[in-house]
Amino acid sequence: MSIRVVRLSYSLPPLPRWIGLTRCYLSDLLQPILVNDDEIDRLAIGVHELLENCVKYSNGDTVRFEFEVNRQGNGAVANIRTTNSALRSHVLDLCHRIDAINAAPDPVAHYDEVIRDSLVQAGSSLGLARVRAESFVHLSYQIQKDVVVVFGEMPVRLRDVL
Amino acid sequence: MSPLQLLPIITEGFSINPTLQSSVLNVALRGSADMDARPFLSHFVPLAHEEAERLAVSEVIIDVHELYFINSVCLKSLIVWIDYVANATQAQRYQLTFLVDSRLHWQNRSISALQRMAPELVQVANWKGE
Repeated sequence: MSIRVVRLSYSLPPLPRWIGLTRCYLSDLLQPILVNDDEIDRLAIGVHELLENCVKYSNGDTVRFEFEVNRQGNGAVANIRTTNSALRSHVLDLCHRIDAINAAPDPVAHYDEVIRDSLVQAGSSLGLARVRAESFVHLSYQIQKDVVVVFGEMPVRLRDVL
Repeated sequence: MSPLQLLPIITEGFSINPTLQSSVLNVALRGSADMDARPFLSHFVPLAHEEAERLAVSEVIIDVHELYFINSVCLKSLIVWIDYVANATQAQRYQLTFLVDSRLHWQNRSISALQRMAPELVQVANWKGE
């Protein structure tokens, strides 16, 4: 059985201003809920990078962001979900990156490789690999036509009072 | 040695403050390095590298202890900086030291990734407080 502890969701125009606000709001919100600050820092990076990708590559009027923490048995899981429409080439590139991350036996070694590769690319292309290597967030995706949904999942520890 | 010809950058929520002490260039990054900070940091990095070479400094200390967040795009600017130093001639090469606050857990992880790029050039030191 799953019990919802936290839920935040919104659909808003794809503006950069929401990214930092969302990260800071969730960091503050999670302070009395999660056991350690390290998990909050890791989630903050995951939320920021996934939302930034979503906003940066969106070609629609709105993007959707959803965040939940659910108690599951003796543990708990934080879920991040971003939804946006994008150019087909961006959608395919994102899927390719997540597939490569999930196929890599060592997320940190993969991130190191992506860092080296970034030196010969115009953009950063680091965000997703960073989320996996530094935040330990497991990534997956769903595509429906030009809409891509990216999922991030990370086990967390709740304070005893919850 | 010529005085420092590198100006501070102060924006809402992010600042870069360079200072010269003897043969060490200190660069303090403060605030949140996100999408808004990217153009300032990517503009500053090549100038700082040129200035470090001109002044023939032995070390550049990048003090991030008051940096509360950095996104991957701004991290890329620091990656480019490390690459500049790695590709400099032996005579122009200098040490890059990141000063981190161990209480900000993300800093050790994010900066360690930079150190793995060039462990012979990049050091990580803990900020000891004022």
